[in-house]
Amino acid sequence: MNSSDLKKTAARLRLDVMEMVFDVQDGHPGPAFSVAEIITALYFGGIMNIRPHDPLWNERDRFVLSKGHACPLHYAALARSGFFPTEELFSLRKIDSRLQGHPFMGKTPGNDGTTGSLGNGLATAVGMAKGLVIQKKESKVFCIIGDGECNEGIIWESVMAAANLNLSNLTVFLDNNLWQSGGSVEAVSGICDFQEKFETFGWNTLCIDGHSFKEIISAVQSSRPMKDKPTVIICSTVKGKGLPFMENDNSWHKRVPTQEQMDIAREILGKEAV
Amino acid sequence: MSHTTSSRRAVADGLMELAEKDERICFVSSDSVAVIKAQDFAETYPDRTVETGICEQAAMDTAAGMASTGLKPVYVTYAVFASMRACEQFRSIVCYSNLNVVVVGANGGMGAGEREGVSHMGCEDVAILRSFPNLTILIPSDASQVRKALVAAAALDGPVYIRTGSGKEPLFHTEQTPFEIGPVRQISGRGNDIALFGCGFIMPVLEEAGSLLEAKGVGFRIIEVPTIKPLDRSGIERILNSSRAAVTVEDHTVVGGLGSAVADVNVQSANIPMRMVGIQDVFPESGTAEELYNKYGITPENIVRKVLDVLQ
Ligand SMILES: [Mg+2]
Repeated sequence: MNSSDLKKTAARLRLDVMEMVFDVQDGHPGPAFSVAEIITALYFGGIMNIRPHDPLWNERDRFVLSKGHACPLHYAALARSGFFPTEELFSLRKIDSRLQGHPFMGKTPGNDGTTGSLGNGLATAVGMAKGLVIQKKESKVFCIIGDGECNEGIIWESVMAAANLNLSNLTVFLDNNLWQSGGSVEAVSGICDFQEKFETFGWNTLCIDGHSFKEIISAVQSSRPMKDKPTVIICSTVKGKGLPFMENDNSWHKRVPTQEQMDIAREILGKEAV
Repeated sequence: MSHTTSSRRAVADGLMELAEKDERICFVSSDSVAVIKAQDFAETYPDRTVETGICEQAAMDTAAGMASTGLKPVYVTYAVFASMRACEQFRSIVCYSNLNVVVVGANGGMGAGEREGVSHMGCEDVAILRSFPNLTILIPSDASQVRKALVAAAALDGPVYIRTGSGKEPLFHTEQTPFEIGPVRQISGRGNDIALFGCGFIMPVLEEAGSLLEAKGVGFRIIEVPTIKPLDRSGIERILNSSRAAVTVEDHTVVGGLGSAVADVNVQSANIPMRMVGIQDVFPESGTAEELYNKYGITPENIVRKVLDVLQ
Protein backbone atom coordinates (compact mmCIF):
# COMPACT_ATOMS: atom_id res chain seq x y z
CA MET A 1 0.00 0.00 0.00
CA ASN A 2 1.15 3.54 -0.69
CA SER A 3 1.01 6.28 1.91
CA SER A 4 -2.39 7.54 0.84
CA ASP A 5 -3.93 4.06 1.01
CA LEU A 6 -2.34 3.51 4.40
CA LYS A 7 -3.92 6.74 5.61
CA LYS A 8 -7.31 5.57 4.41
CA THR A 9 -6.81 2.23 6.11
CA ALA A 10 -5.85 3.86 9.41
CA ALA A 11 -9.02 5.96 9.26
CA ARG A 12 -11.03 2.83 8.49
CA LEU A 13 -9.54 1.03 11.50
CA ARG A 14 -10.22 4.02 13.75
CA LEU A 15 -13.81 4.10 12.61
CA ASP A 16 -14.07 0.36 13.23
CA VAL A 17 -12.88 0.98 16.78
CA MET A 18 -15.51 3.67 17.32
CA GLU A 19 -18.25 1.44 15.92
CA MET A 20 -17.16 -1.46 18.11
CA VAL A 21 -16.89 0.58 21.29
CA PHE A 22 -20.19 2.31 20.57
CA ASP A 23 -21.91 -1.00 19.88
CA VAL A 24 -20.75 -2.76 23.05
CA GLN A 25 -20.75 0.50 25.05
CA ASP A 26 -17.32 -0.29 26.47
CA GLY A 27 -13.64 -0.01 25.58
CA HIS A 28 -10.57 2.17 25.22
CA PRO A 29 -10.66 4.33 22.07
CA GLY A 30 -7.98 6.89 23.02
CA PRO A 31 -5.10 4.44 23.52
CA ALA A 32 -6.14 2.60 20.35
CA PHE A 33 -6.01 5.73 18.25
CA SER A 34 -2.42 6.60 19.18
CA VAL A 35 -1.17 3.30 17.70
CA ALA A 36 -3.36 3.31 14.59
CA GLU A 37 -0.56 4.22 12.18
CA ILE A 38 1.90 1.78 13.76
CA ILE A 39 -0.51 -1.14 13.49
CA THR A 40 -1.64 -0.10 10.02
CA ALA A 41 1.99 0.05 8.86
CA LEU A 42 2.71 -3.38 10.34
CA TYR A 43 -0.27 -5.10 8.72
CA PHE A 44 -0.75 -3.11 5.52
CA GLY A 45 2.61 -1.42 4.95
CA GLY A 46 4.49 -4.54 3.95
CA ILE A 47 6.31 -4.96 7.25
CA MET A 48 4.85 -8.14 8.72
CA ASN A 49 5.25 -11.44 6.95
CA ILE A 50 1.95 -13.17 7.73
CA ARG A 51 -0.66 -15.38 6.11
CA PRO A 52 -4.19 -14.43 7.13
CA HIS A 53 -5.55 -17.72 5.78
CA ASP A 54 -2.99 -19.61 7.90
CA PRO A 55 -2.78 -17.70 11.19
CA LEU A 56 -0.47 -20.25 12.86
CA TRP A 57 1.96 -20.46 9.93
CA ASN A 58 5.27 -21.39 11.51
CA GLU A 59 7.41 -18.92 9.62
CA ARG A 60 5.22 -15.90 10.34
CA ASP A 61 6.37 -12.72 12.01
CA ARG A 62 4.85 -12.25 15.45
CA PHE A 63 3.06 -9.24 16.84
CA VAL A 64 2.32 -8.64 20.50
CA LEU A 65 0.19 -5.73 21.61
CA SER A 66 1.62 -5.34 25.07
CA LYS A 67 -0.63 -2.36 25.80
CA GLY A 68 -3.49 -4.77 25.33
CA HIS A 69 -6.28 -2.33 26.09
CA ALA A 70 -5.74 -0.88 22.59
CA CYS A 71 -6.87 -4.22 21.12
CA PRO A 72 -10.01 -3.06 19.27
CA LEU A 73 -7.71 -1.45 16.73
CA HIS A 74 -5.66 -4.63 16.40
CA TYR A 75 -8.84 -6.67 16.01
CA ALA A 76 -9.93 -4.31 13.25
CA ALA A 77 -6.55 -4.70 11.53
CA LEU A 78 -6.80 -8.49 11.77
CA ALA A 79 -10.32 -8.52 10.37
CA ARG A 80 -9.45 -6.11 7.55
CA SER A 81 -6.38 -8.26 6.77
CA GLY A 82 -8.65 -11.27 6.38
CA PHE A 83 -7.99 -13.23 9.58
CA PHE A 84 -11.72 -13.29 10.37
CA PRO A 85 -14.89 -11.64 9.05
CA THR A 86 -15.32 -7.94 9.78
CA GLU A 87 -18.85 -8.58 11.10
CA GLU A 88 -17.21 -10.44 13.96
CA LEU A 89 -15.75 -7.15 15.20
CA PHE A 90 -19.10 -6.44 16.79
CA SER A 91 -18.68 -9.39 19.11
CA LEU A 92 -16.01 -7.43 21.02
CA ARG A 93 -16.33 -7.89 24.78
CA LYS A 94 -19.53 -9.90 24.38
CA ILE A 95 -20.32 -13.37 25.66
CA ASP A 96 -19.10 -16.31 23.52
CA SER A 97 -16.84 -14.00 21.51
CA ARG A 98 -13.41 -14.68 20.08
CA LEU A 99 -12.63 -11.01 20.71
CA GLN A 100 -12.01 -10.76 24.42
CA GLY A 101 -11.88 -7.44 26.25
CA HIS A 102 -8.11 -7.83 26.30
CA PRO A 103 -6.06 -9.93 23.84
CA PHE A 104 -6.17 -13.69 24.29
CA MET A 105 -4.06 -15.74 21.92
CA GLY A 106 -6.16 -18.82 22.60
CA LYS A 107 -9.19 -17.42 20.80
CA THR A 108 -8.44 -14.73 18.24
CA PRO A 109 -7.02 -15.81 14.87
CA GLY A 110 -3.86 -13.84 14.17
CA ASN A 111 -3.30 -12.79 17.77
CA ASP A 112 0.04 -14.10 19.01
CA GLY A 113 0.06 -12.83 22.57
CA THR A 114 -2.15 -12.91 25.64
CA THR A 115 -1.88 -9.44 27.10
CA GLY A 116 -3.84 -6.81 28.98
CA SER A 117 -1.92 -7.19 32.19
CA LEU A 118 0.60 -4.46 31.47
CA GLY A 119 4.22 -5.32 30.89
CA ASN A 120 3.73 -8.98 30.18
CA GLY A 121 3.47 -8.61 26.43
CA LEU A 122 7.02 -7.38 26.12
CA ALA A 123 8.36 -10.22 28.27
CA THR A 124 6.40 -12.71 26.16
CA ALA A 125 7.78 -11.10 23.00
CA VAL A 126 11.30 -11.57 24.38
CA GLY A 127 10.56 -15.29 24.73
CA MET A 128 9.14 -15.45 21.21
CA ALA A 129 12.19 -13.72 19.76
CA LYS A 130 14.53 -16.05 21.63
CA GLY A 131 12.43 -19.07 20.66
CA LEU A 132 12.69 -18.12 16.98
CA VAL A 133 16.46 -17.63 17.27
CA ILE A 134 16.83 -21.04 18.90
CA GLN A 135 14.93 -22.58 15.99
CA LYS A 136 17.04 -20.59 13.52
CA LYS A 137 13.98 -18.94 12.05
CA GLU A 138 14.11 -15.67 10.17
CA SER A 139 10.80 -14.50 11.61
CA LYS A 140 10.70 -11.21 13.47
CA VAL A 141 8.83 -10.14 16.55
CA PHE A 142 7.09 -6.78 16.80
CA CYS A 143 5.69 -5.45 20.02
CA ILE A 144 3.92 -2.25 21.04
CA ILE A 145 4.30 -0.97 24.57
CA GLY A 146 2.83 2.16 26.10
CA ASP A 147 4.70 4.89 27.91
CA GLY A 148 2.47 4.45 30.95
CA GLU A 149 3.11 0.74 30.70
CA CYS A 150 6.78 1.50 31.28
CA ASN A 151 5.89 2.05 34.94
CA GLU A 152 5.85 -1.73 35.23
CA GLY A 153 8.97 -3.38 36.61
CA ILE A 154 8.66 -6.30 34.22
CA ILE A 155 9.21 -3.91 31.29
CA TRP A 156 12.69 -3.18 32.58
CA GLU A 157 13.34 -6.82 33.42
CA SER A 158 12.52 -7.56 29.80
CA VAL A 159 14.59 -4.68 28.48
CA MET A 160 17.58 -6.03 30.39
CA ALA A 161 17.01 -9.61 29.26
CA ALA A 162 16.40 -8.75 25.59
CA ALA A 163 19.67 -6.84 25.38
CA ASN A 164 21.64 -9.55 27.12
CA LEU A 165 20.09 -12.18 24.85
CA ASN A 166 21.11 -10.12 21.79
CA LEU A 167 17.63 -10.27 20.31
CA SER A 168 18.13 -8.43 17.04
CA ASN A 169 14.87 -9.94 15.73
CA LEU A 170 12.85 -7.97 18.29
CA THR A 171 11.49 -4.53 17.41
CA VAL A 172 9.50 -2.63 20.01
CA PHE A 173 7.36 0.41 19.31
CA LEU A 174 7.01 2.64 22.34
CA ASP A 175 3.76 4.56 22.03
CA ASN A 176 4.90 7.77 23.68
CA ASN A 177 1.55 9.59 23.87
CA LEU A 178 2.47 11.18 27.21
CA TRP A 179 -0.68 9.93 28.94
CA GLN A 180 -1.53 7.00 31.12
CA SER A 181 -4.81 5.89 32.62
CA GLY A 182 -4.88 8.32 35.51
CA GLY A 183 -3.29 11.39 33.99
CA SER A 184 -0.13 12.58 32.30
CA VAL A 185 2.82 10.23 32.46
CA GLU A 186 4.84 13.09 33.86
CA ALA A 187 2.43 13.69 36.73
CA VAL A 188 1.53 10.12 37.59
CA SER A 189 4.85 8.32 37.33
CA GLY A 190 7.45 10.83 36.16
CA ILE A 191 9.08 8.34 33.83
CA CYS A 192 10.86 10.06 30.92
CA ASP A 193 13.98 9.98 28.74
CA PHE A 194 13.10 6.66 27.20
CA GLN A 195 15.82 6.83 24.58
CA GLU A 196 18.51 7.27 27.19
CA LYS A 197 17.11 4.45 29.31
CA PHE A 198 16.93 1.95 26.46
CA GLU A 199 20.36 2.94 25.17
CA THR A 200 21.88 2.46 28.59
CA PHE A 201 20.47 -1.06 28.60
CA GLY A 202 22.16 -1.68 25.24
CA TRP A 203 19.28 -1.27 22.81
CA ASN A 204 19.31 0.23 19.35
CA THR A 205 17.04 3.27 19.62
CA LEU A 206 15.19 5.45 17.13
CA CYS A 207 12.82 8.35 17.68
CA ILE A 208 10.10 9.08 15.14
CA ASP A 209 6.70 10.62 14.58
CA GLY A 210 4.41 7.68 15.35
CA HIS A 211 1.73 8.96 13.00
CA SER A 212 3.99 9.18 9.94
CA PHE A 213 3.90 6.06 7.79
CA LYS A 214 7.07 7.14 6.06
CA GLU A 215 8.93 7.38 9.34
CA ILE A 216 7.49 4.16 10.77
CA ILE A 217 8.38 2.13 7.69
CA SER A 218 11.84 3.61 7.28
CA ALA A 219 12.57 3.13 10.99
CA VAL A 220 11.73 -0.57 10.71
CA GLN A 221 13.88 -0.87 7.60
CA SER A 222 16.82 0.94 9.12
CA SER A 223 16.66 -1.21 12.25
CA ARG A 224 16.94 -4.43 10.27
CA PRO A 225 20.69 -4.41 9.73
CA MET A 226 21.27 -4.07 13.48
CA LYS A 227 23.24 -7.02 14.70
CA ASP A 228 22.91 -8.43 18.19
CA LYS A 229 20.71 -5.66 19.50
CA PRO A 230 16.98 -5.33 19.99
CA THR A 231 15.49 -2.15 18.60
CA VAL A 232 13.07 0.27 20.21
CA ILE A 233 11.32 2.82 18.03
CA ILE A 234 10.15 5.58 20.31
CA CYS A 235 7.05 6.96 18.67
CA SER A 236 5.90 10.43 19.44
CA THR A 237 2.11 10.09 19.31
CA VAL A 238 -1.11 11.82 20.26
CA LYS A 239 -3.60 9.99 22.43
CA GLY A 240 -6.94 10.00 20.63
CA LYS A 241 -5.26 11.05 17.35
CA GLY A 242 -7.70 11.30 14.47
CA LEU A 243 -10.74 12.87 16.09
CA PRO A 244 -10.39 16.48 17.28
CA PHE A 245 -12.71 16.00 20.24
CA MET A 246 -10.65 13.07 21.42
CA GLU A 247 -7.08 14.26 20.89
CA ASN A 248 -5.13 14.73 24.11
CA ASP A 249 -8.32 14.46 26.14
CA ASN A 250 -7.39 11.68 28.54
CA SER A 251 -11.01 11.06 29.48
CA TRP A 252 -11.03 9.01 26.25
CA HIS A 253 -8.63 6.52 27.81
CA LYS A 254 -11.78 4.52 28.48
CA ARG A 255 -14.96 6.13 27.30
CA VAL A 256 -17.96 5.47 25.11
CA PRO A 257 -18.95 8.02 22.45
CA THR A 258 -22.40 9.59 22.43
CA GLN A 259 -24.62 9.38 19.36
CA GLU A 260 -23.56 12.92 18.41
CA GLN A 261 -19.88 12.03 18.76
CA MET A 262 -20.45 8.92 16.65
CA ASP A 263 -22.00 11.07 13.96
CA ILE A 264 -18.91 13.29 13.95
CA ALA A 265 -16.60 10.28 13.94
CA ARG A 266 -18.43 8.74 10.98
CA GLU A 267 -18.31 12.06 9.18
CA ILE A 268 -14.59 12.67 9.69
CA LEU A 269 -13.18 9.15 9.59
CA GLY A 270 -15.68 7.92 7.03
CA LYS A 271 -14.54 10.60 4.65
CA GLU A 272 -10.86 9.85 5.23
CA ALA A 273 -11.37 6.15 4.78
CA VAL A 274 -12.40 6.39 1.15
CA MET B 1 17.13 -42.29 56.07
CA SER B 2 19.93 -42.65 53.57
CA HIS B 3 20.50 -39.73 51.23
CA THR B 4 20.67 -40.52 47.56
CA THR B 5 20.80 -38.54 44.36
CA SER B 6 19.61 -35.01 44.98
CA SER B 7 16.13 -34.01 43.88
CA ARG B 8 17.59 -30.81 42.46
CA ARG B 9 20.26 -32.60 40.52
CA ALA B 10 17.44 -34.86 39.34
CA VAL B 11 15.94 -31.89 37.48
CA ALA B 12 19.21 -31.30 35.65
CA ASP B 13 19.46 -35.03 34.91
CA GLY B 14 15.90 -35.06 33.60
CA LEU B 15 16.65 -32.05 31.42
CA MET B 16 19.68 -33.79 29.93
CA GLU B 17 17.68 -36.94 29.31
CA LEU B 18 14.91 -34.96 27.60
CA ALA B 19 17.19 -32.69 25.58
CA GLU B 20 19.01 -35.62 24.01
CA LYS B 21 15.78 -36.91 22.53
CA ASP B 22 13.90 -33.71 21.83
CA GLU B 23 15.51 -30.58 20.46
CA ARG B 24 12.53 -28.49 21.52
CA ILE B 25 13.49 -28.88 25.18
CA CYS B 26 15.01 -25.70 26.60
CA PHE B 27 16.01 -24.56 30.04
CA VAL B 28 14.90 -21.13 31.21
CA SER B 29 16.87 -19.76 34.11
CA SER B 30 16.38 -16.70 36.25
CA ASP B 31 19.93 -17.19 37.52
CA SER B 32 18.81 -20.71 38.47
CA VAL B 33 21.65 -22.73 36.94
CA ALA B 34 23.26 -23.28 40.33
CA VAL B 35 19.91 -24.03 41.97
CA ILE B 36 19.63 -27.35 40.13
CA LYS B 37 23.32 -27.77 39.31
CA ALA B 38 22.52 -27.45 35.62
CA GLN B 39 26.03 -26.43 34.57
CA ASP B 40 26.30 -29.58 32.46
CA PHE B 41 23.13 -28.74 30.61
CA ALA B 42 24.20 -25.13 30.10
CA GLU B 43 27.55 -26.26 28.71
CA THR B 44 26.14 -29.04 26.54
CA TYR B 45 23.23 -26.97 25.24
CA PRO B 46 24.24 -23.32 25.42
CA ASP B 47 21.79 -22.44 22.64
CA ARG B 48 18.92 -23.97 24.56
CA THR B 49 19.78 -22.40 27.89
CA VAL B 50 17.99 -19.08 28.23
CA GLU B 51 19.22 -16.89 31.05
CA THR B 52 17.06 -13.87 31.89
CA GLY B 53 18.85 -12.80 35.03
CA ILE B 54 17.13 -12.65 38.42
CA CYS B 55 13.72 -11.62 37.18
CA GLU B 56 11.18 -14.38 37.74
CA GLN B 57 8.27 -12.49 36.19
CA ALA B 58 10.04 -11.85 32.90
CA ALA B 59 11.45 -15.38 32.98
CA MET B 60 7.96 -16.89 33.31
CA ASP B 61 6.70 -14.86 30.34
CA THR B 62 9.87 -15.59 28.37
CA ALA B 63 9.14 -19.29 28.80
CA ALA B 64 5.57 -18.62 27.64
CA GLY B 65 6.79 -16.78 24.54
CA MET B 66 9.22 -19.58 23.73
CA ALA B 67 6.49 -22.18 24.12
CA SER B 68 4.30 -20.20 21.74
CA THR B 69 6.93 -20.68 19.03
CA GLY B 70 6.79 -24.45 19.47
CA LEU B 71 9.56 -25.04 22.00
CA LYS B 72 9.18 -26.89 25.29
CA PRO B 73 10.77 -24.67 27.92
CA VAL B 74 11.42 -25.86 31.44
CA TYR B 75 11.63 -22.91 33.79
CA VAL B 76 13.30 -23.55 37.11
CA THR B 77 13.17 -21.29 40.13
CA TYR B 78 12.21 -21.59 43.78
CA ALA B 79 8.65 -22.67 44.52
CA VAL B 80 7.98 -19.47 46.41
CA PHE B 81 9.02 -17.30 43.44
CA ALA B 82 7.27 -19.44 40.83
CA SER B 83 4.00 -19.29 42.72
CA MET B 84 4.19 -15.81 44.20
CA ARG B 85 6.68 -13.48 42.54
CA ALA B 86 5.64 -14.72 39.12
CA CYS B 87 2.14 -15.73 40.17
CA GLU B 88 0.26 -13.53 37.74
CA GLN B 89 2.53 -14.40 34.82
CA PHE B 90 1.98 -18.07 35.62
CA ARG B 91 -1.79 -17.57 35.66
CA SER B 92 -2.54 -14.96 33.04
CA ILE B 93 0.08 -15.79 30.43
CA VAL B 94 1.16 -19.43 30.86
CA CYS B 95 -1.99 -21.11 32.17
CA TYR B 96 -4.62 -18.95 30.48
CA SER B 97 -2.87 -19.40 27.13
CA ASN B 98 -2.48 -23.12 27.95
CA LEU B 99 1.15 -23.13 26.86
CA ASN B 100 3.58 -26.04 27.08
CA VAL B 101 5.68 -24.62 29.87
CA VAL B 102 7.02 -26.82 32.64
CA VAL B 103 7.77 -24.88 35.80
CA VAL B 104 9.93 -26.52 38.45
CA GLY B 105 9.69 -25.06 41.94
CA ALA B 106 12.61 -25.92 44.20
CA ASN B 107 12.48 -25.59 47.99
CA GLY B 108 8.87 -26.73 48.05
CA GLY B 109 7.92 -26.92 51.71
CA MET B 110 9.58 -25.84 54.93
CA GLY B 111 11.76 -28.94 55.12
CA ALA B 112 13.28 -28.02 51.78
CA GLY B 113 13.71 -24.40 52.76
CA GLU B 114 15.44 -25.44 55.95
CA ARG B 115 17.87 -22.85 57.28
CA GLU B 116 17.04 -20.38 54.49
CA GLY B 117 13.93 -19.34 56.37
CA VAL B 118 10.45 -18.30 55.37
CA SER B 119 11.42 -16.09 52.39
CA HIS B 120 12.78 -19.14 50.58
CA MET B 121 10.21 -21.73 51.70
CA GLY B 122 7.41 -22.60 49.32
CA CYS B 123 4.75 -23.31 51.93
CA GLU B 124 1.75 -22.03 49.97
CA ASP B 125 2.70 -22.82 46.36
CA VAL B 126 0.27 -25.69 45.93
CA ALA B 127 -2.64 -23.74 47.44
CA ILE B 128 -2.09 -20.86 45.06
CA LEU B 129 -1.41 -22.88 41.93
CA ARG B 130 -4.25 -25.36 42.50
CA SER B 131 -6.64 -22.56 41.65
CA PHE B 132 -5.26 -22.09 38.12
CA PRO B 133 -7.25 -23.76 35.33
CA ASN B 134 -5.29 -25.82 32.74
CA LEU B 135 -2.40 -26.45 35.15
CA THR B 136 -1.15 -29.91 36.09
CA ILE B 137 0.58 -30.05 39.48
CA LEU B 138 2.99 -32.86 40.30
CA ILE B 139 4.53 -33.53 43.70
CA PRO B 140 7.10 -36.30 43.33
CA SER B 141 8.41 -37.96 46.46
CA ASP B 142 12.10 -38.53 45.79
CA ALA B 143 14.91 -37.66 43.39
CA SER B 144 14.23 -40.48 40.99
CA GLN B 145 10.55 -39.58 40.92
CA VAL B 146 11.42 -35.95 40.25
CA ARG B 147 13.40 -36.92 37.16
CA LYS B 148 10.58 -39.15 35.91
CA ALA B 149 7.95 -36.51 36.69
CA LEU B 150 9.89 -34.04 34.57
CA VAL B 151 10.05 -36.46 31.67
CA ALA B 152 6.33 -37.16 31.99
CA ALA B 153 5.55 -33.45 32.24
CA ALA B 154 7.44 -32.65 29.05
CA ALA B 155 5.31 -35.16 27.16
CA LEU B 156 2.09 -33.59 28.40
CA ASP B 157 0.19 -30.95 26.48
CA GLY B 158 -0.33 -27.81 28.58
CA PRO B 159 1.41 -26.21 31.55
CA VAL B 160 2.83 -28.28 34.40
CA TYR B 161 4.18 -27.36 37.81
CA ILE B 162 6.57 -29.76 39.53
CA ARG B 163 7.31 -29.24 43.18
CA THR B 164 10.77 -30.28 44.22
CA GLY B 165 12.92 -29.91 47.28
CA SER B 166 16.27 -29.08 48.77
CA GLY B 167 18.15 -31.97 47.27
CA LYS B 168 18.72 -33.76 50.55
CA GLU B 169 15.67 -36.00 50.50
CA PRO B 170 15.83 -39.74 51.06
CA LEU B 171 14.97 -42.18 48.30
CA PHE B 172 11.40 -43.32 48.88
CA HIS B 173 10.65 -45.46 45.86
CA THR B 174 13.04 -47.70 43.95
CA GLU B 175 14.91 -46.55 40.86
CA GLN B 176 12.53 -48.75 38.88
CA THR B 177 9.29 -47.27 40.22
CA PRO B 178 7.54 -45.40 37.43
CA PHE B 179 5.96 -41.97 37.81
CA GLU B 180 2.50 -41.81 36.39
CA ILE B 181 0.60 -38.54 36.08
CA GLY B 182 -2.90 -38.88 37.47
CA PRO B 183 -3.69 -41.79 39.77
CA VAL B 184 -3.14 -41.98 43.51
CA ARG B 185 -1.23 -45.04 44.63
CA GLN B 186 -1.40 -47.20 47.67
CA ILE B 187 2.05 -47.48 49.19
CA SER B 188 1.46 -49.90 52.03
CA GLY B 189 -0.83 -51.03 54.80
CA ARG B 190 -3.97 -53.00 55.10
CA GLY B 191 -7.12 -52.48 57.06
CA ASN B 192 -9.81 -49.89 56.86
CA ASP B 193 -9.55 -47.91 60.08
CA ILE B 194 -7.58 -45.03 58.66
CA ALA B 195 -6.54 -43.73 55.27
CA LEU B 196 -3.29 -41.76 55.42
CA PHE B 197 -2.88 -39.46 52.42
CA GLY B 198 0.48 -37.85 51.75
CA CYS B 199 2.62 -36.38 49.01
CA GLY B 200 6.16 -35.25 48.41
CA PHE B 201 9.35 -35.88 50.30
CA ILE B 202 7.66 -36.50 53.65
CA MET B 203 6.22 -39.83 52.51
CA PRO B 204 8.75 -41.70 54.73
CA VAL B 205 7.18 -39.98 57.75
CA LEU B 206 3.87 -41.61 56.84
CA GLU B 207 5.60 -44.98 56.57
CA GLU B 208 7.01 -44.55 60.07
CA ALA B 209 3.58 -43.58 61.33
CA GLY B 210 2.27 -46.74 59.68
CA SER B 211 4.68 -48.88 61.66
CA LEU B 212 3.54 -47.25 64.90
CA LEU B 213 -0.11 -47.80 63.96
CA GLU B 214 0.54 -51.41 63.11
CA ALA B 215 2.04 -51.92 66.54
CA LYS B 216 -1.13 -50.48 68.03
CA GLY B 217 -3.32 -52.74 65.94
CA VAL B 218 -4.84 -49.92 63.90
CA GLY B 219 -5.68 -50.87 60.33
CA PHE B 220 -4.28 -48.34 57.88
CA ARG B 221 -3.51 -47.65 54.26
CA ILE B 222 -0.91 -45.17 53.06
CA ILE B 223 -1.91 -43.40 49.88
CA GLU B 224 0.46 -41.24 47.88
CA VAL B 225 -1.06 -38.41 45.85
CA PRO B 226 1.67 -37.52 43.32
CA THR B 227 -0.69 -35.51 41.11
CA ILE B 228 -2.51 -32.86 43.08
CA LYS B 229 -4.13 -31.44 39.97
CA PRO B 230 -6.05 -32.76 38.16
CA LEU B 231 -6.91 -34.72 41.27
CA ASP B 232 -7.71 -38.41 41.03
CA ARG B 233 -11.11 -37.82 42.59
CA SER B 234 -12.50 -41.28 41.92
CA GLY B 235 -9.38 -42.96 43.30
CA ILE B 236 -9.55 -40.87 46.46
CA GLU B 237 -13.29 -41.40 46.74
CA ARG B 238 -12.80 -45.16 46.59
CA ILE B 239 -10.30 -45.05 49.46
CA LEU B 240 -12.49 -42.70 51.53
CA ASN B 241 -15.57 -44.86 50.99
CA SER B 242 -13.75 -47.85 52.39
CA SER B 243 -12.16 -46.13 55.41
CA ARG B 244 -13.51 -45.08 58.81
CA ALA B 245 -11.48 -41.87 58.84
CA ALA B 246 -8.69 -40.07 57.02
CA VAL B 247 -5.59 -38.06 57.88
CA THR B 248 -3.67 -36.00 55.35
CA VAL B 249 0.02 -35.16 55.72
CA GLU B 250 1.84 -32.46 53.78
CA ASP B 251 4.86 -30.19 54.03
CA HIS B 252 2.68 -27.25 53.06
CA THR B 253 0.08 -25.08 54.72
CA VAL B 254 -3.12 -26.95 55.53
CA VAL B 255 -4.93 -24.02 53.91
CA GLY B 256 -5.52 -25.09 50.34
CA GLY B 257 -3.07 -27.94 49.94
CA LEU B 258 -3.42 -31.71 49.87
CA GLY B 259 -5.62 -31.72 52.97
CA SER B 260 -8.02 -29.26 51.42
CA ALA B 261 -8.03 -31.20 48.15
CA VAL B 262 -8.89 -34.47 49.88
CA ALA B 263 -11.44 -32.74 52.11
CA ASP B 264 -13.09 -31.34 49.01
CA VAL B 265 -13.57 -34.86 47.67
CA ASN B 266 -14.61 -36.11 51.10
CA VAL B 267 -17.43 -33.63 51.67
CA GLN B 268 -18.87 -34.54 48.30
CA SER B 269 -18.62 -38.29 48.82
CA ALA B 270 -17.76 -40.41 51.86
CA ASN B 271 -18.05 -37.67 54.45
CA ILE B 272 -15.84 -39.46 56.95
CA PRO B 273 -14.04 -37.71 59.83
CA MET B 274 -10.73 -36.14 58.78
CA ARG B 275 -7.68 -34.48 60.29
CA MET B 276 -4.89 -32.55 58.57
CA VAL B 277 -1.21 -32.67 59.45
CA GLY B 278 0.84 -29.87 57.91
CA ILE B 279 1.82 -26.29 58.53
CA GLN B 280 -1.05 -24.96 60.65
CA ASP B 281 -1.49 -21.52 59.10
CA VAL B 282 1.72 -20.15 60.58
CA PHE B 283 5.04 -18.98 59.16
CA PRO B 284 7.80 -21.45 60.04
CA GLU B 285 11.41 -20.40 60.64
CA SER B 286 15.02 -21.38 59.99
CA GLY B 287 16.22 -24.75 61.19
CA THR B 288 17.13 -28.19 59.98
CA ALA B 289 14.40 -30.14 58.22
CA GLU B 290 14.20 -32.51 61.16
CA GLU B 291 13.90 -29.71 63.70
CA LEU B 292 11.24 -28.02 61.61
CA TYR B 293 9.21 -31.19 61.17
CA ASN B 294 9.42 -31.81 64.92
CA LYS B 295 8.40 -28.30 65.88
CA TYR B 296 5.59 -27.99 63.33
CA GLY B 297 4.14 -31.45 63.81
CA ILE B 298 5.09 -33.37 60.70
CA THR B 299 6.19 -36.40 62.70
CA PRO B 300 5.08 -40.02 62.94
CA GLU B 301 4.01 -39.40 66.53
CA ASN B 302 1.82 -36.45 65.64
CA ILE B 303 0.26 -38.38 62.79
CA VAL B 304 -0.55 -41.23 65.19
CA ARG B 305 -2.02 -38.73 67.65
CA LYS B 306 -4.28 -37.34 64.91
CA VAL B 307 -5.27 -40.84 63.87
CA LEU B 308 -6.26 -41.88 67.37
CA ASP B 309 -8.10 -38.59 67.81
CA VAL B 310 -10.08 -38.90 64.61
CA LEU B 311 -10.93 -42.56 65.27
CA GLN B 312 -12.49 -41.74 68.64
MG1 LIG C 1 0.38 6.39 27.12
